[in-house]
Amino acid sequence: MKRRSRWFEFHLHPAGMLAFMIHRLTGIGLVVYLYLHLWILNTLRQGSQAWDTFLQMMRSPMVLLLDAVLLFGILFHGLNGLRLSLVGLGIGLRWQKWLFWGSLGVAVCLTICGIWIMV
Amino acid sequence: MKFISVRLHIWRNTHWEDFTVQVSSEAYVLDALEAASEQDKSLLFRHACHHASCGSCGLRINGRERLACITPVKDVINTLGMIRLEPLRNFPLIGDLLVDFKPFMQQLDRIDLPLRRSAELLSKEINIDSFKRVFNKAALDIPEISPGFNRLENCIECGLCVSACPIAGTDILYSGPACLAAVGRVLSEPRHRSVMDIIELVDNEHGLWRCHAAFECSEVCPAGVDPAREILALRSHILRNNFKS
Ligand code: SF4
Ligand code: FES
Repeated sequence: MKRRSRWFEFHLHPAGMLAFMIHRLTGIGLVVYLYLHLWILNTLRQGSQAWDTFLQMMRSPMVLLLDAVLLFGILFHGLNGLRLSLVGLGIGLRWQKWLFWGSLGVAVCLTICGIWIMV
Repeated sequence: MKFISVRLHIWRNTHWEDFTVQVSSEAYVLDALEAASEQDKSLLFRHACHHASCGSCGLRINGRERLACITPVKDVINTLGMIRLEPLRNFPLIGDLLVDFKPFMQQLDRIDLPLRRSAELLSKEINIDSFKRVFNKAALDIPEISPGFNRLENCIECGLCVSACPIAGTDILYSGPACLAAVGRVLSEPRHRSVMDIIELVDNEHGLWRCHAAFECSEVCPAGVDPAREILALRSHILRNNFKS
């Protein structure tokens, strides 16, 4: 039997599949981030010197970029999660595509605002 | 009539094979495939009606699930004159472009009622109210409900939705979009059947609750069944019932 999971596939009319893909990617990213976050908090135990060095490192442009990716991940995953909860309850099924593009649009706009504030 | 040359790039179990055929510019992919089978009689594929009714000619055409009999060659041919053909996914492969529909049909069979295709006699014991939701007024105005009236069902059991569904690829026991849509159909027209018995068949982790709302089934369905909508509406129905009880 030819079965393979196909989480990543692009089509001409992609809304549902695109939402499916980004939701999973951001979900995996957020789980990875959760562990990273716990590891980072662990530096607090190593004294104020270690924490100050860490904070210094956090101000580098590269890390700020990662922060922006994280912000987008949280926003999109949350908003699309809301969309999935609604359609899962049979609400707004007809507008599911627009709800997706809306979630994506709002996530992108708020991420841009976030970058604006950060830099 | 204008003829064009088409190169069919076909997956044959272990390798790709090319067939170059001449077809009319108005031909459909199935016509081109039949021309290719003239070159190699061992080429396996299935078809019957040639008009999107039997549901047997589903393929992945350039990676997308479509019915070969209603897909015009000119819509899918690329600039190199090529069309890529692969069998449907998530079905046991018999060979070349032919997949085994038996497990799929068995799933549908469990739901039974909405898929009975043979001309069924409508009798007076049938709940006319539930029919009003399905058939238009004109049909109900037929003086004596005529024997041989064919229930018009949308699903043609083509399996495109199962092939397109990303979840059917990860859960071998998943009921699949067509089967779940059929349950939704029973709900809207129970015809004295116990709805709860049928819902129970799919109210589990391999049924209704496995769907991840990628909406791929509805994108590819050639019959406008919109299985994703049926599945999610069914979920909402069950949730509401559970809350009430
Ligand atoms: S629901 Fe649509 S895609 Fe699925 S088997 Fe029926 S007709 Fe084909
Ligand atoms: S040959 Fe019957 S649906 Fe295509």
